[in-house]
Amino acid sequence: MHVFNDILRKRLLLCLIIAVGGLPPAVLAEVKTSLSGFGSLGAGRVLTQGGTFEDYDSRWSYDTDTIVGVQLDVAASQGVTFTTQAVARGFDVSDVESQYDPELELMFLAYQATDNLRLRGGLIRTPLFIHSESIEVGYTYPWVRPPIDVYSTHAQSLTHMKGVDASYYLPVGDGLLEWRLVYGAEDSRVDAIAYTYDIDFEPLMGSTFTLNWNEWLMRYSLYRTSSTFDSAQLSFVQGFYRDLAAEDPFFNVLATNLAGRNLTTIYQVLGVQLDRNNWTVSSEIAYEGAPEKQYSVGLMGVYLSVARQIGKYSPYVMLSYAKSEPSDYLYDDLRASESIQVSAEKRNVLDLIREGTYQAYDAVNFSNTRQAIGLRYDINDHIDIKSELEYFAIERKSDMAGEPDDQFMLTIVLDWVL
Amino acid sequence: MKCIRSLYTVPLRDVLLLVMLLGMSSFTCADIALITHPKNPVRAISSEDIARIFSGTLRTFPSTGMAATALDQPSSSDIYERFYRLVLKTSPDIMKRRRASYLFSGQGIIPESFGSDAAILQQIAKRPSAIGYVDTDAVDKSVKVIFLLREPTRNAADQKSDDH
Repeated sequence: MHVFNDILRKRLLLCLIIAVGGLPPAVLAEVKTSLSGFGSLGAGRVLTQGGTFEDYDSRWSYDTDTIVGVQLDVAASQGVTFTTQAVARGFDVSDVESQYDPELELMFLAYQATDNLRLRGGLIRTPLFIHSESIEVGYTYPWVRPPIDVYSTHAQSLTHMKGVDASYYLPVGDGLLEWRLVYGAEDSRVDAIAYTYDIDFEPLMGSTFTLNWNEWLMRYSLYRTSSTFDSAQLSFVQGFYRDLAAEDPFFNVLATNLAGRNLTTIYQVLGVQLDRNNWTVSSEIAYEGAPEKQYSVGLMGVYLSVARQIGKYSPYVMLSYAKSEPSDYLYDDLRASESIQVSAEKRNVLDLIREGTYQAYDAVNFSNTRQAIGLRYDINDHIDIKSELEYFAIERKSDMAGEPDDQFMLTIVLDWVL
Repeated sequence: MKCIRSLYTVPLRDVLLLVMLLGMSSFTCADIALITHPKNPVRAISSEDIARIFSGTLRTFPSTGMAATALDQPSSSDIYERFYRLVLKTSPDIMKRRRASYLFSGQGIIPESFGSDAAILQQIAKRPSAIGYVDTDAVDKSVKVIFLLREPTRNAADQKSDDH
């Protein structure tokens, strides 16, 4: 899949070079080039004994929130632009082993077709959330990191796509409404707690409405995708259940319940932000409906943040909540299988595999609350430093071995844009 | 009439002070002129389109298809603060975060910043696609004014004196 991905990227790059090269000389006559960069240097530790968060544990470490990025913009006259961006992350949910490997984040051509219509094609970001298009740039938001109860690792795998989008701008009273239509596909990998999986979203399509009205920003996103995921760990368990189906066909149901083929998922995100009199209040609520077939999990997340700017200081508080819940039939079918008699030589292994299946469901069956207080200090127009104390409590269907139910965490981040 | 009569009762010293203060307020709150190259086909522009060009959601001059290159004043200047407060209803601090977000989300290039009215005038005089804003007192014949931005407080004061 990754080889295929590389080939796709090379073809994309070639198409873009040809496209830029093929532009009329008049368009290329006035070309403006801009090279810019951004980054964050983070340090954090979990204050609670035995606690972990991403790559943080009870000792100071420096990778989870550290990132460096560079961007090249080439703007020709007549509204044609080419943008490419590469980043190197200290911690990557798609590959926890890779550290600071440069990755292509953006590469697209954009064209201002009319006063109100902009078209883009290439490797673009999916504008699900208010901050999803600049999620890597810590300088652009008040917190150490966006609230992960909404900007979750699963949603992050959706923030990029190879595709096209069209933005239509419509003046509404004193405000401006942007209506963006998006179509494309994406494949990524997630290193989850219980298992690693590759996931393809194809097609991924939807629409985002953004209304900027004086100090208000309102955003609603509605996306639909068909996703397919593969996990070596889950495939092994599925294979075992399929073998057992020779003894009782009901085990085929358990195998299917661990599959993820062409799952239709609807994502909805509603966000609002108000900047008034040095106060910034923002809130977003995200909902991902359970597909109700195969390995079906529903998610919802919400946060509320209040920040106040006092000169160069911006103290803030942030509260968030997330709930992840597998569909009931997954547990029901697993429990129903306990009454099925199987041959003696497979019974012990079945018990172990079934226990592992319960754990796979339990890993995505939790609710989470977070409270954070923090302070941002703007050193100058390009650099800020933030410190955040966060408390989070996780309520799981079953306890994860050695992991405390609640934790305190301290993070300090230096952000810059150049 | 009532106003004129009441003025007669005010001591001359206070009237002189009032005149001086009005003069000073006029001096410190000069209007902001939106300017382009004289050969730019745009003759006038709406405040909404100015907001869109400087926030980056409109990349061409309205109804022309001609790329618009916005030029900025220094973010620490008084005119920058007034311009973005009047046009985009926002503060310089929020603006710089929005600019970073705009740039690194691949929306487009942010406006180039120049150190003074004179530098902006010089750039506009050289670049037909450029649009910038300067103090009205600084405008000369090398550029074309396509919009005048006025402080609401000043308009209100003007309105009041007109009523009188």
